Amino acid sequence: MLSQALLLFRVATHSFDRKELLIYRRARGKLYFISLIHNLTLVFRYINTDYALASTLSNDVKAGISDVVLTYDIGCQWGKNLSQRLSNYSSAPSLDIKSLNSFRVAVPKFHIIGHGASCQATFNLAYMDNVGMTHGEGVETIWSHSTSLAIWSRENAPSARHLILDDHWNGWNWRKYVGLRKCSGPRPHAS
Amino acid sequence: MLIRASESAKAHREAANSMSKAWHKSAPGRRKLLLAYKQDKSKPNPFEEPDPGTSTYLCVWSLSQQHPDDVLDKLKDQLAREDSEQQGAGVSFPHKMTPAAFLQFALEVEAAQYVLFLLFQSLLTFGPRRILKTRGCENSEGDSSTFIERRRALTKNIDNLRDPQRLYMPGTSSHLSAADLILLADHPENVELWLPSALPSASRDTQCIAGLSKLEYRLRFAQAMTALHDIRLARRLLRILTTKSQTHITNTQRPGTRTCSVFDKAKAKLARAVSTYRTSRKAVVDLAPNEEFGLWKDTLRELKDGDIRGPGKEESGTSASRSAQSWIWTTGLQASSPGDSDLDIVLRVEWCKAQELAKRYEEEVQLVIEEMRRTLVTFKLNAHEWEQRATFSIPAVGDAAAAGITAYAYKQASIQRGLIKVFIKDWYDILTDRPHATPWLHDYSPPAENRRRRLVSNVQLYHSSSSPRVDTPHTINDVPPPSVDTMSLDVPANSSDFDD
Repeated sequence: MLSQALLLFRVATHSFDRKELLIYRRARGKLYFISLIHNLTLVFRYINTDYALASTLSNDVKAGISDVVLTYDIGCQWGKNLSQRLSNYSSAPSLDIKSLNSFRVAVPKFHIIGHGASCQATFNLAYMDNVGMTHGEGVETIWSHSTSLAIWSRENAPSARHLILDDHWNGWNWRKYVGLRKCSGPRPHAS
Repeated sequence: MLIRASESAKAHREAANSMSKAWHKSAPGRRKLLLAYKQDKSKPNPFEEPDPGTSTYLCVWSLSQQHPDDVLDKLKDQLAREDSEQQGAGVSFPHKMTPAAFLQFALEVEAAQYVLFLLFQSLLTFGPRRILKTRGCENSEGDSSTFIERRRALTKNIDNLRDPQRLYMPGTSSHLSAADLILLADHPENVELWLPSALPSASRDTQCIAGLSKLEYRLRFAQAMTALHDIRLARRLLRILTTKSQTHITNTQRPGTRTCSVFDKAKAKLARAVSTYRTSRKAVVDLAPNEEFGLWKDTLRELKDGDIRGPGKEESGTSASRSAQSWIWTTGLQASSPGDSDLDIVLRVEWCKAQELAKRYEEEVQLVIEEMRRTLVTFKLNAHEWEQRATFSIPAVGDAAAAGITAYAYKQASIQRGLIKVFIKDWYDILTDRPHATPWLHDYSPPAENRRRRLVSNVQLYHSSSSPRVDTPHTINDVPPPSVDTMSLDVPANSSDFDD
């Protein structure tokens, strides 16, 4: 039986005008969550990902989430020493993965094709229990929309850029919201 | 979403069960392997396909191995035993060839006819030089003989067949006409052998000795099973070769003639096995249309061209989660001891994948239901938050503005409640069909009117959700205070957790 405390999570990094944009999101929806988007101005490092993960996931854990499935394009490598890294950070929000009931890392279904045979067997959502038909790629479908924002907001100062991005993603979310009933009806609609 | 998920879940569960049923002997072992791996990832991975190795010839060799418990071989042994038992019991046959031996010989002649037929076809198409190249479809015996010699040998064999045939099938002598004899001399590969299955069913019993039809049925059944096994082997071989040619691309413009010839051999093997299967199945259908001699309809299904695919998903085509395995991989399997041959492992991988796929779809149904619960709870929470905002007192603004703020907050809250209504209207019937999965549903009142009528067009849906009808009047005095029970939340009050 599925736990009501299950959370399917997706990490994505979006190369964004010479900056990496880090997005944390529910793996099964297609909405942006602004508080979970982190602007990475430095060279991409695990520590950025880890910080963002700890700051969002610690809230969820406080709210009662105990089973986490995390999908990430490079999850097979990144997840290796994750709990050890998290315990070493001094200023990040505290997140103890070992206290969770289960914490699993997977590679999303489209990306796993590019991985080796051992990854395809170990980090495959198709062979993982309790994840349903989650593919974990929903966040990247939005990139066609948000890529143009990179040039759009290139000349802005950081705060103005943040506001512009907020505006656009809120707009995206609103359109999703409006069409929510259409795309989430109980029976398939011709689209 | 829910309907589609549950339909797929049902279909894939059926497919997985039929696979388990077909491999019932080895299923427990496989299940154990799968469970062991799930608990401990260091155990052998049941999803990994065997590596066919680097040598093409090695894998060809390993795949051309006969099944250790070949049905046809076992039946031949058994028939030989039965014959010797009968002879020991004093039963004598009018010919030195027993009926069982006669039929086996006839099947061999039939196979030789088919090979010669193919050879003749390619002779007509490509001329004599090409014949050497089509040897891939031949038996190893008689490779050195020329076409004419092979024809002569076949003619002789058919002649030898006629003697016992006149004795065991006395009614057929009328069929063996003079025209037949001329054909025999010129084109022995086209001569009708007149086995019991080729006779009209009404006169079959009068034209043959008793028991001959059943004997042929047993042989044909076993022949079809073996052919099915050969089809699977050839498909697997083709699969390996395709994968190899895709992954080991050489940077050369020379044609890979060796790979080509192996491909040709595999294709010829497949075509021959398919033809054998169809011939023997047709004989089985003719001999026992109502399964007089035993059950065959579930095992020997009609082999359409589209059925000859797999193992696994095709290179081009639908994704693995949408496509079903062909029946050739699930029926008529010659269950042996849990073998470690290449084909056994491939089939085990397919079985494991099918089980997992069925499970994923069943979980998907539960996930969709759980997501609907979270959706509704989120709407409820949003409405609750807006209602709380309505009671904020903001001293800086005047009374009129404060009234406006309150009205706006109630409007937003009512939009959220309207969304709950709309979603319940869409989902209530489907969710009530699954009471055990939706114990939370009684928190929501069923849609009031037109419970059974659903919206027909998407356009309608789109508009009704983009501007949900707001039932509450927009003046403050008319706004009813939110009732306590609609505000009660049974979830942690953190909106970010219930957003999907």
